[in-house]
Amino acid sequence: MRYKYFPSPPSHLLACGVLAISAACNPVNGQTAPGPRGSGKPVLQDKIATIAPGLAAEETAGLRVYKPEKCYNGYTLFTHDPIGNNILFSPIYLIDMRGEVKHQWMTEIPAIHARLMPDGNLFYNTTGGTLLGSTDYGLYELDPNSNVGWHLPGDISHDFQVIDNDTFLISEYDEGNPEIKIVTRGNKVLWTWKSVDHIGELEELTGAKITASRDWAHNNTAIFLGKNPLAKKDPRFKEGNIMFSFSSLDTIGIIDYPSGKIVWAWGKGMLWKQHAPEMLNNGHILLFDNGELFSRVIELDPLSGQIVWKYPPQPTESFHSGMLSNATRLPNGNTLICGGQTGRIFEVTAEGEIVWEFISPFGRWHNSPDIYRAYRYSEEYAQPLFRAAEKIK
Amino acid sequence: MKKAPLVKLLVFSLLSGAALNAHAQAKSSSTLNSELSQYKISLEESGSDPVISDYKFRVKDMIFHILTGETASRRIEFEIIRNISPETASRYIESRYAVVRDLYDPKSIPYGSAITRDTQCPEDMKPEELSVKVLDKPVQVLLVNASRRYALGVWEKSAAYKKAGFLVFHDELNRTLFQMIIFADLKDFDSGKLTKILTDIKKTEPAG
Repeated sequence: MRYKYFPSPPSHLLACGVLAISAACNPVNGQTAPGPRGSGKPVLQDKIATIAPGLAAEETAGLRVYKPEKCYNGYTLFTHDPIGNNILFSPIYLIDMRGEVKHQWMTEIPAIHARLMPDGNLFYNTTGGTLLGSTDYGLYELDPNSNVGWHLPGDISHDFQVIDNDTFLISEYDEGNPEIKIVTRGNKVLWTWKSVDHIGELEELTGAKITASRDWAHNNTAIFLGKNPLAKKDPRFKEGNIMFSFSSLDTIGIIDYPSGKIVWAWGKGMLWKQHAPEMLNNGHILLFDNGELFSRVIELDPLSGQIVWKYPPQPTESFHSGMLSNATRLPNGNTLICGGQTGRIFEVTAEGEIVWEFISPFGRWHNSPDIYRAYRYSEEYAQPLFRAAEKIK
Repeated sequence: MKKAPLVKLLVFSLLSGAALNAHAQAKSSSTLNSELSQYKISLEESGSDPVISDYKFRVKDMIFHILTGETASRRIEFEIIRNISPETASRYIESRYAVVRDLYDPKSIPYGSAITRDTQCPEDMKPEELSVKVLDKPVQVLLVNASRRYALGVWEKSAAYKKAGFLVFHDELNRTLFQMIIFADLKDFDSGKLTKILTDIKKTEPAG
């Protein structure tokens, strides 16, 4: 492994107006949804997949489905996960609905994931060193021409959220222990949360005994809760609290800000190595539950513990990514899903119909087609980028 | 403890700007040679291959040009970097060859989504190396197996549908770097044809 932790980026969809809203809580357990975890059957069964999972995805690359009238049309941002990627000039792609590259950035250190800003600039995080010896990882800001405008050093291997142009929420590690910080552009730390100081709270909420061995939590999310209807019912979901996702513990949770106390946790026995929870405008939590044998995207009502929506409706061997991945709710109610290990990004309606599907053919420099996360931006949102990018003949 | 400004959404001033779309669309009528002429080089017979993908973007002071030509029997991909400094060119060349070789190095674990389940690439699937004269200079060419969808790093015979020649050459005088990957079906692959494509690359204007 070339980096210490699996990367995980920011969550809420500023671009698509999917501002995370906060969730309500529900003590662990007492949920209803059946966990489609594990059946003992082989994970992959089609002919191609018997070769190797990555090849199965790669063999079917390109645009596979596009139903314009049913899509949230716009641009999709992604980069390939940098495992095996020690390459100078690593691309980040913005593609249109037909799968054509409409803008491309090149990073000197491979990016984990990126977020497009309203002015056309891009933030991305990196991890690990490269064959060329660089260890300048951290959080970067690029202009449309890939000029580095700003760099925050650090092991920001998973998640970040741009709070405003000067303030950032970041997920870091300190000797394997997750930390969440609020830092300024001037690298002034405004707030720090150390996971090891809150193990007791987590044990109380989950009922599990936790040993803080190396990478005991593997946090892949740090995102503020936005305005949400649950906050009035339960202060644990108030705007400004912070959501995390400890994938090693199969648990998502909420940290009270600024006290730092973990006030809500859920997932033990229900999730398996989940990624990228975010709160929706309706107060539900959307997340990618990777699953040991089958993946699913679920929308959880955190107050009742009920899973109110999921994709796919039934577990299927054809939808599995044991690591990476994310899902975001789009403004038209569809859900954009990134099945990370298959390099597959697709959009489904509330009814579960696939209306857009793209398997990246760009994993040229990798031993796998991995994509950590993908995001969709509206056509209007991307215009400042296109205006700012130089037209080149 | 200071409370951070939360959800102070980014309201950047919109940059006024030049033209919209930064990228040219693939032109059905263009050929590899018609696009390569701006770099003062040409291919021989393969220069008439129709272009299927063609776009440019700026990276700092450099211009990247992604250019792909394809026929029924081959596909030629260029990543061309204009205005590249000698230092960056050197790093680029080192990096790209290292990455291609790294695709075939032993892995400590068979990573979950890798395109192989093995940890060790069989010897007969590892890259072969050729030295070919391109623009009168010897250039290292890595011959590697590729998948049906042009992914390098294929270790398994059953998944190897293509053979690819990978190389990078540098036109120092014009500060231009060319990465080329030439794909052909494995069953039709002929290293002599590949070598000819490369040795036939010509400058279209006298140096200097």
